[in-house]
Amino acid sequence: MEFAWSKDDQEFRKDLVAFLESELPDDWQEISREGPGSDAQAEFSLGFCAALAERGWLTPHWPTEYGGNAAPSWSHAVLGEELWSRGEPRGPQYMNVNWIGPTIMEHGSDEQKALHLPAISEGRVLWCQGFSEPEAGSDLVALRTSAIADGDDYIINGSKIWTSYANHADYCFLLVRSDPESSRHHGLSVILLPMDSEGIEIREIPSVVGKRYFHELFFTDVRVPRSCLLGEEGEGWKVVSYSLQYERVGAPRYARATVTLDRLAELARQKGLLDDPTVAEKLGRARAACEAARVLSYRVIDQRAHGLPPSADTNVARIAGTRVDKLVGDLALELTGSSGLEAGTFANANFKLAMTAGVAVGATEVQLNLVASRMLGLPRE
Amino acid sequence: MAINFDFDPVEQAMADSVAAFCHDRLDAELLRAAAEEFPLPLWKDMAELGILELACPDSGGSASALCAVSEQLGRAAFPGPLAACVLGAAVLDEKKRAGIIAGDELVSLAEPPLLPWGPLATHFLVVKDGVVLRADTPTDMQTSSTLGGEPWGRAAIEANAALADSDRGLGLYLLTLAAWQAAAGRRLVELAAEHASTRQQFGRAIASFQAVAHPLADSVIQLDASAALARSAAFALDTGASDAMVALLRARASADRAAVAAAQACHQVFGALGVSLEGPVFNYSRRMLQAASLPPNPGWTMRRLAEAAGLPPTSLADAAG
Repeated sequence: MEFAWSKDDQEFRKDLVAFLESELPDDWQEISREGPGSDAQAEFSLGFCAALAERGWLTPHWPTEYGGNAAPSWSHAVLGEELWSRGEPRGPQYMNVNWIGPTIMEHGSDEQKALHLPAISEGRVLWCQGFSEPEAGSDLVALRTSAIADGDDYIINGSKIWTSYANHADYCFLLVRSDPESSRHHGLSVILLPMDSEGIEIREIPSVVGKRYFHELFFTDVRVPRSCLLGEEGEGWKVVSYSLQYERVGAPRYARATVTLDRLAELARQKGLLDDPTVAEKLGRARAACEAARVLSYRVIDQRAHGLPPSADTNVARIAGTRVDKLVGDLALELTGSSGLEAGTFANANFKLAMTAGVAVGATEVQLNLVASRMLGLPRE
Repeated sequence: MAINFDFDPVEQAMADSVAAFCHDRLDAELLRAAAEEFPLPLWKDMAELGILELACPDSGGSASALCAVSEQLGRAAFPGPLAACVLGAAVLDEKKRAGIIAGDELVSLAEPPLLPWGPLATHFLVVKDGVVLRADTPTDMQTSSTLGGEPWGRAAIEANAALADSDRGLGLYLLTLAAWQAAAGRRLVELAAEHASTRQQFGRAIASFQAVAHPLADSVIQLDASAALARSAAFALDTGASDAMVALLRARASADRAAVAAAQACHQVFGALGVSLEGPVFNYSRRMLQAASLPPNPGWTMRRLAEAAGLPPTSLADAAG
């Protein structure tokens, strides 16, 4: 057993922090104010990720053949923590590194690996994720968007919803039904869809979370070559299940929550609120929850580092992470009072982040069901 | 005499006419637009129903009547500084309150240095340790936007005069907030229940999952408790009960807590639609959150309630006065 960071990881964190301190501009808060979907942050991410990539820090844990440094998988956790705690300057590109790249590495053809992995590793490509549909949210396998083989092509029709970053994306990781006679988990496929294909319409769904955070995508007879199919036709569920295991622990939300808590504690001290035992208790409780989310997340990374198959521990870590977001978001509002609702304040940003925490990447209710069935063997409702 | 939760026929008739007004004049689109630009004509028409006049000391309006109409305005998520204008109508002199009850002038009850509705307000009030004070119109006001889509100001503000009728005014203010919040929350839960009953996932309505239904049921319990506390507090105010202020603080604290919890439960039921500006839920939840942030702050309220329950006063500094 070992709970200390390796010397290499410690050095890496030190270098990374120094880099971030010099690389993040003074107006970074302003750039990131409207969230990762905004033009400002998406554009910033291209320059920033290229600078990270130059140092081999965008995908340090990837094999060298795909543009990585073959560093231990823990370096990815260090990166995630430091970047999330600063408001994720990678913008939409955190998805590429967290799960899109690894899924292509596992299921992609040589041609797909050559096309996509260096581009991700060099920080010059933006992706979006086409999973949810109006009638297929928590029940993802109810999806109906189709990709029907037609000679050497697929023809895609249907729509996706709640797609983040669609307006900036070069590619969409698209889950479709390739067998129109199939249902549920069967007959699904993943298409790596170039977003400049003919027949794609993008509509923004304005939201409280940030600018251009959500979109609806409409596909009308979008034609793509068969070479865009990721993995085997009809094996899409296997591919996506692999992705989701990475996605659910990919974003160390606890890292950001911890930094926010430190700021809240300082604020409480300035306002003389720390003498109030209920305030101190709430800060302490939230801090403990942050630590719990952190070690639960580490447990999943540890299992991955040992080559163990994904388990419901992923769901446990995810739920713990979202609970922390809620705790800290509520506490931010409570301690800052009215000013916490003012646009542009850090309390406001955290509260808004918390509003989607229990929904994004699989609703909490669904994750709890997975924990109940997989860990406790309980019957499904 | 028996306990009776019904409003009297006059109060009920007034509530019915406010409900009809809201039904005719407010819809989701208008509520959304109101967060971009405040609909002053709508506000004036609401005032012409005689709602704000109920708060004037010489109008003969009762707290119960104000409770009845505030419930209806809450159900509609009616936008604007309703409670602050009730307070202004109750405590400012006849000349000043004329513009308020006519709906021509708005009131900002400050949470210094923040001024809710400050950029649109004519009158500025401050509440300090439970006493309502008048303040001069601040100069050099910075404007800021809020989650609720309310225009707020930021400026130094000096309280300069204590006001007569402060207790009654603060009481009516708290009552308006409590009744509005509990009713807004209740309506939001109904909207979420409608959504959960029609939204199909896994081949069935999501409302048939207990994980979805129970948080909504829990919200109803808390919100109904708040609504009942508000009505009984209105009665206490009308009958001059010595513990009326405590009852009002309790009702408001309960309603805020219930409303914020209900908003979160409903956001979860609506999923991503909950944070869409196009969905029905945010029109309500944003205003409920905003109302919960209005002064006096929860810490001060809780200490007053603890003292009223016979607990020794704490020595803690009162952060927001």
